[in-house]
Amino acid sequence: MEAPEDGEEDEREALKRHLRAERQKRKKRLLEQSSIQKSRDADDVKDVTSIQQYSADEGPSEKADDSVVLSKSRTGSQKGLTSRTQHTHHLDDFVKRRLEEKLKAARSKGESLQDKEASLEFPSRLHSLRDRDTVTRFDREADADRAGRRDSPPPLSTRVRFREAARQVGKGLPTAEEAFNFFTLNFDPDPPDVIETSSRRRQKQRKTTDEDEEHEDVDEDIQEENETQSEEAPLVQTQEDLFVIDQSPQDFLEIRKAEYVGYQKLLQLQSELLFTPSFRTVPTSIKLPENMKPRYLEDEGLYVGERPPVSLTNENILENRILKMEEGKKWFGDDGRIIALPNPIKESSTRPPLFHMEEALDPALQTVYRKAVKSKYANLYIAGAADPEGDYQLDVDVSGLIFSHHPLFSREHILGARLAQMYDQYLTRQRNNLTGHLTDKLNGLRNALRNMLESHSGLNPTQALQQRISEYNLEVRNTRHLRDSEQEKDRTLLKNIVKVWKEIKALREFQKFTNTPYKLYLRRENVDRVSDEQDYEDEILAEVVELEAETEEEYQNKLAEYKKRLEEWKLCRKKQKAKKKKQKKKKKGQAQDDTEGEDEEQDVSESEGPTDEPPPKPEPPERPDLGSIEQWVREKALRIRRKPGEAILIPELSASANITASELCPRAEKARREDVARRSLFTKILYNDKEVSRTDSRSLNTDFRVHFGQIFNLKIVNCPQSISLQVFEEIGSSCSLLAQVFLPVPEPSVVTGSVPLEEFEFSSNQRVMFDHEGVGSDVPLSFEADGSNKQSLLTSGKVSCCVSWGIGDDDVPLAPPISQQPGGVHSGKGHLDAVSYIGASGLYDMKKIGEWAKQSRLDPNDPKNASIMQLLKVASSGEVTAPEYFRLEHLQEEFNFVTDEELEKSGRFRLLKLRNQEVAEFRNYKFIPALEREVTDTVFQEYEKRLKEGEVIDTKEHLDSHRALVAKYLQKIRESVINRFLLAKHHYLLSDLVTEEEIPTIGILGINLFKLAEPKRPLKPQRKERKKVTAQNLSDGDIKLLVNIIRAYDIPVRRLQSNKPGQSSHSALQGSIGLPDQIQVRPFVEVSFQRTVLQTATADGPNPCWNEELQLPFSAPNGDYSTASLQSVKDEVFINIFDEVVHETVMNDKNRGKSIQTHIEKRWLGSVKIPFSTIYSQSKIDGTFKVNTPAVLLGYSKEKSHFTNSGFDILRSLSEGTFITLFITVDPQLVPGESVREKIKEMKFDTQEDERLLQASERFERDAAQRYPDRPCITTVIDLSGKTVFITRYIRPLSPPKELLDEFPNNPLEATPLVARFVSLIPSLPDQVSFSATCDLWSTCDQFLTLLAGDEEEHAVLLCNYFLSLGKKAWLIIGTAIPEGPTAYVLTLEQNLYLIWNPCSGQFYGQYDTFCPLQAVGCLVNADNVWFNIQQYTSPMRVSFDITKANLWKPFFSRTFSHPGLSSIQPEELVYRRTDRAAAAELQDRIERILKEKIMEWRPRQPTRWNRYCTTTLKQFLPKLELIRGQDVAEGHRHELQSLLGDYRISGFPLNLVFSEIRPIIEAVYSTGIHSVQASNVEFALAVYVHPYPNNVMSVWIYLASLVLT
Amino acid sequence: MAELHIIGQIIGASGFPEKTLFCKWGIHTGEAWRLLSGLKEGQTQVDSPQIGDIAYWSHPIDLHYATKGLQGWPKIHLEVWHQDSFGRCQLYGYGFLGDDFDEKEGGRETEKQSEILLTAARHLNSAQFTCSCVIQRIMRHVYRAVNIHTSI
Repeated sequence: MEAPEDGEEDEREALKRHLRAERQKRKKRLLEQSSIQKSRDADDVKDVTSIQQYSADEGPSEKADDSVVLSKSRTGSQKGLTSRTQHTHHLDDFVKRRLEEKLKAARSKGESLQDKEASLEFPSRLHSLRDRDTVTRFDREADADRAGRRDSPPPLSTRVRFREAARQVGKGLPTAEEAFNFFTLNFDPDPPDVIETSSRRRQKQRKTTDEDEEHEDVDEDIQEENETQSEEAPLVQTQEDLFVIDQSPQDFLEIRKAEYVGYQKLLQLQSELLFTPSFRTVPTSIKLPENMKPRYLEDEGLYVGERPPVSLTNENILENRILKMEEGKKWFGDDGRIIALPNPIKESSTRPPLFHMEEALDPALQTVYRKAVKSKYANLYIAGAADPEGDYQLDVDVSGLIFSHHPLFSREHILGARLAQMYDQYLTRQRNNLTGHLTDKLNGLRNALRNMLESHSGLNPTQALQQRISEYNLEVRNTRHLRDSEQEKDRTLLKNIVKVWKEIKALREFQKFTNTPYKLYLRRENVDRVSDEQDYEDEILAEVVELEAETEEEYQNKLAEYKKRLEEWKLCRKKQKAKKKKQKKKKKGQAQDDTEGEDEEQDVSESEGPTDEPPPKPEPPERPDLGSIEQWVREKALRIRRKPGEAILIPELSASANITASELCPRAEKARREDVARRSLFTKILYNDKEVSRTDSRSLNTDFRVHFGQIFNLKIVNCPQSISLQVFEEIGSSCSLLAQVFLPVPEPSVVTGSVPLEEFEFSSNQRVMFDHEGVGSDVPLSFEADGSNKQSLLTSGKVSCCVSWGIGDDDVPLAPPISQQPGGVHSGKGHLDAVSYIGASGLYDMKKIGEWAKQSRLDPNDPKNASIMQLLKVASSGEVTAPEYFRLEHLQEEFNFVTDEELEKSGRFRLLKLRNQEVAEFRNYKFIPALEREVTDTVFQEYEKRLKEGEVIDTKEHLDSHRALVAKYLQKIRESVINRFLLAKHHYLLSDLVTEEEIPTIGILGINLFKLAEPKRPLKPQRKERKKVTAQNLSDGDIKLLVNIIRAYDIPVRRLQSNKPGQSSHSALQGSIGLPDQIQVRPFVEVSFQRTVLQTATADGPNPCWNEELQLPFSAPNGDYSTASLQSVKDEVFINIFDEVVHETVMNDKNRGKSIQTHIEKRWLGSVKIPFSTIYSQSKIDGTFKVNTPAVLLGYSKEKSHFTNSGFDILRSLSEGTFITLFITVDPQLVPGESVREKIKEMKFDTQEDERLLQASERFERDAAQRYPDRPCITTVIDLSGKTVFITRYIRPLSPPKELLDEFPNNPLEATPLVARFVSLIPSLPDQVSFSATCDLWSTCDQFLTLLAGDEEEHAVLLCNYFLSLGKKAWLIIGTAIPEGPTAYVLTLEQNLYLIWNPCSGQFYGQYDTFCPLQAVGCLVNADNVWFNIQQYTSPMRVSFDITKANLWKPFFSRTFSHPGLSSIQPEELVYRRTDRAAAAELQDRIERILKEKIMEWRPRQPTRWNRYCTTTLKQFLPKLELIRGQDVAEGHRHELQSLLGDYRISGFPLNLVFSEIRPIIEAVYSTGIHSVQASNVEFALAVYVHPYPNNVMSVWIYLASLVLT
Repeated sequence: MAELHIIGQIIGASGFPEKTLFCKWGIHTGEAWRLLSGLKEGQTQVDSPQIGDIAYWSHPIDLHYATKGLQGWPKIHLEVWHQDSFGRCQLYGYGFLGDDFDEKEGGRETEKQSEILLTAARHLNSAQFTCSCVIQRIMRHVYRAVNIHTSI
């Protein structure tokens, strides 16, 4: 009801504020104008202000005399107003009058209305006044008043309108219209009740709105306005004036009390705003939905919990309130009550009862007050950590830990750890090289000093110079002291290292086992003794000189001082003496003049006080003993320096020693090791003292190193304060803390990946003791024998780990900004001085750095300053001048770190390069040392020698200059061929790289199943195919050579010497004499290969059967098992057949009776040699070979078959000689190097052949290979210059040497064997060996004869050509033979009989010869054509050699592709050099001499006697043997010999060899084992005969015999 | 003296218009580098894949260099050729694996596989092949920078 009024009041307030603002504005303007105005209306203003002040001051305080105040103010205002009117009298009268009239009319009208309404209005007004008063003063009437007031609502419309007017007034200057409206319109249409008090009210309103002072302001304002506006607005002014005049002062001024809202009213107001629920019980019907009866669950038998007790009033209030709310009813249950949970309060107390409240409370339960602790790090959040981008990550990398001492260390471990530590120290010292750098500095200083002295030697040294010299001297002295101490440290360290190592060795020796893998090597670096001594002496001399100078100087100083003091002393003495005299005088005079004397005496005593005690006489300084200085220096040098000439010792510690296995250790040690094995370690990572992570548990190793290798990424929010690791040791399930290691918090720049692991030391002082070998911790122990020098070691070690800031995905380090880092400081300690000196910004200023460096006297030699010095050097050198040349690689020279020469000098690089170039000496090098110093110069010696002596012919090795030349030539060819093929080797075929195992098929499975049913040991076992092994993954010892010696035929038997004519009476020579039926030979086989010699058991008879397998180890040259390397193995397998002869000598001892001594003697019967390369390429050799038996075997004879009944013997009788059946293979089976030919095909050699021919030949060969893969077929070959040549070009009739033909002038056919022999005497050199498995090269006949070396092909071609020239029908057979493998033979047709010639041995075989080594015939070649064998069989015995039959032999040139008329590449005629008999004789002598020396050399224990007589006899036989070409002449020969040497038991044989080099001859002699005769009375005979053939072909005969005098 | 081992392989190529491809490669270095061992150029076999698009060569590269300076770090160049059914060869693309061939994290043995885009070298019918000539090749190399004893 009162709200409107309140609203009005509010509006009033707003208005007030508005007006006040307006007033302020006006006031300002007023102030501006006031200066003009002041003079005029000073009084007015004064009055007004006084009133103002009055009202302001008195108004509120003196409410009692309200009336007085009012009256006063009114009077004041009236006065003011009147005065104002005076000013306005000059206004337009007309307007004034009009307005006055109008106003009067209006007023009269209003007055009448007012009067009418007065009765009605008055109470209201009164009330309003009284209302204000009642609050303050008339409290008693308040209620009545209020009641009455309620009844009379204020006239709203009037007020509003008035207010509008007032507002318009407030807006400032009203316009004339507004002013008019203001004063006129308001009053006319108002309803009477409104108008009644309009004027009064208006006044009052104005008063209320405009506060007292304000009112005046307005008035003033208007007044002023009127003044300034002059005539423009007279109406308003007058009107206002009039109006103002009419009003009483009360209308303008109202003094009101501060507004106070009474309590009642407040309550009323509150009741308007607040809702107070009643506390009356709410009827149930309201609470429930309509038409529902309350339902009591409890009554229905359901359990309802006890409701918590709530007072009824509260419940009611709550219910009432809830009901007022929307959906209030949902809060009520079915029973009409508020839904409530059961009472939560428990029946009984659940807390432990606290009995005995104060006194005897269990201390555990005692409440303890603790002050709230603020977490230390709680607030240290990193700024920006809250946002997801700002997460920081610390990476803690725990790599591992190493114990430098652990309780489980054994004594050896302690020493080992000490050694390792010292070695580390040594290494760091070496790296820093302080000694070297100090020595350099010292030398530098000395030089500088010397230069200075020299340059100023003539002049008088100035003061500054002297100063500098003394400075230098000081510097020299200091540096020398430093250097000496460093040297001493180095020396001691080295000594200690050696000492500890010796201790370890002694300990290991003593305890008989090894626990640590440490091994110390002392590398000796030899020094030049002379220069070293010189240096040493110089050094000592320099030091002595300096020391002398120093001591001299010191002495001089002392002397000077002494002199000074002496002077002083003397002075003193004088004084004293004088004094004494004086005193004496005085004493005399004292008696006379006492007072004066007294006075004086006092004076004197004062002055003499100090001199009373005479100063001690200064001692003159001793002259230093300069002689002793040198001695001292020498002693010192001896102590701290290496002796001159002594090798520099460089210790090298390695962990390569073997640790003794636990089984071999004593019990205590075993227990220790077991204990070690039980332990395991882990570390916890603590971040800000909180465990954040832990590593896995790792077991402790025997070397006490634990590797964790774990990286922990810590996402952090708090500032890192501390990061630490705790090392725990676990034994079984219990674990104990060993130590804690604190890690530094990394700087923000330390980012993962860029920091190395650091080692942090830790230690713990736990005391641990063991009853086993472990030494424990904190337990005193001693290494001395007497137990002295005890020391106790604490568990300690190093953790290697690193802490760094992580890196985000975008390579942004996840580190907080630096400002966050507490205590983040510079790490560059080295530059700290510089920084403090010139400031951080100055670091970029070169000049400043330079100044600083100059001032702080940086040592340019100090490695720490290297970077600064470098910088300064660059800076000081000024700008880089532009070079006047152009370089392709800019700044190359400047950035080189080695020179070309150094690079060239490096042995390692050279070795690597040579290996890569496959230079013969280094081709098979497997490992090249990683360190330069491990490459010794000796490696290159051989190579360099070869390079140097490339052209010098070594006659010693070859005995023949021609052959030496040939050897060189061959070597050159080989080199060139190798270079040619080097590239070819890098071309790989699919089969080189991919080995596909066959997938077993059903068929194979079936066969395997059948195999189960096979007999376990079949009667005739078949050799099974073995798996092939590629050679590259083999190593030494993996490969074995298996030699299966099966049987031999026709071994010569001993000749019974007793049957011989002229035999002396000595009958009991051999055991088998008496019984002719007895076995006449006891042969065994000895196989030697690569220095291994194995032999079979001894068998009996001339046809023995051994059936024995021998395994010989094989090692490849330089351990290189590559195919190429294996192919070039030159070793041969020697299979020698010996006869075991047993001699029994009867010793007749007079005292003891008879004793029989048995000598076993072996006698060589024959040999077979098979090159390894053949075995390798064939993968197995199986067959019967002819044994090379000497032409004559003294004491033996071929046993003519006694049993001629078997068919075999018939066949055998055709061929003479001994045979042996062998099976040789390599285990495991190696993949033979594929035929080189294939590769050559790939190579596409240069050729001069027609393309069509080549294609045809390729096709021909391909067809042949497809249809008969095992039959060799060759149509094109490669000549020595590496060109492909068609094979038929090699065949051309060439005449043999004339000498050979001259021997048989009548019958040229007779010369055939001689020609064959001549060819066979040319040394054979397998291509595979000579050309290192690269390829088969065919040389032409003239090349062959010049080289005097070649393989079967060359021999065969030559032989074939000779035969053709002799008018025979001859062909080249390309086939396979044993043991050569693929080879070439010669076929001749003689009188319808085909003969097969072996060109290398000169032997010929009939087509049906059983023992013909040729096994398969592939193709036949002559000058016109090549025929390929397309018959069913390949064996020569079953092959028809009728080449005209096209169904048996497929010709290369046929009708479709006729022979294009290929010219031969052979020369038209061979030129032979004549035989040089003198050279042969010389060679013969040399061979004989060498062999004799060798035999004596092989018999180092026994004397070797030569039987000259026998030798000369044998020498006579040899030419005869050559003449008959080694045919069986044994019978006569032996007889002759026997007659000559009656009393000797002779065994011997002639050897016929092809001469190529001396080495094979020696080998052959050695393999016969003739030197191994042990009998004491043995004598030897050796005869050599060299038979020369044309063209320097030599046949060498060596007759060897051993003679035992019987 | 420093040594560098370049060990790796050329795995194969894909994305060429034809699948029957082979590759010629070579390594180029500056003047300061000396080849100690290994072949510095070569050619792979021809692979015509029956299945899949990648022609696999798996061609090994193994070189050992010594150097007196660090300039002229090795670069590898590759040419991819196509061999048609008549045995004629045609250059399909070429490219250089330049300085990123060297390893940023020197000293650490790393393995990475990088693809390089080869520039198309076909002049015929360039319009026809513009889109198909975006060629990618996979090259793989493992480096080991051992024994870098920089004795400065």
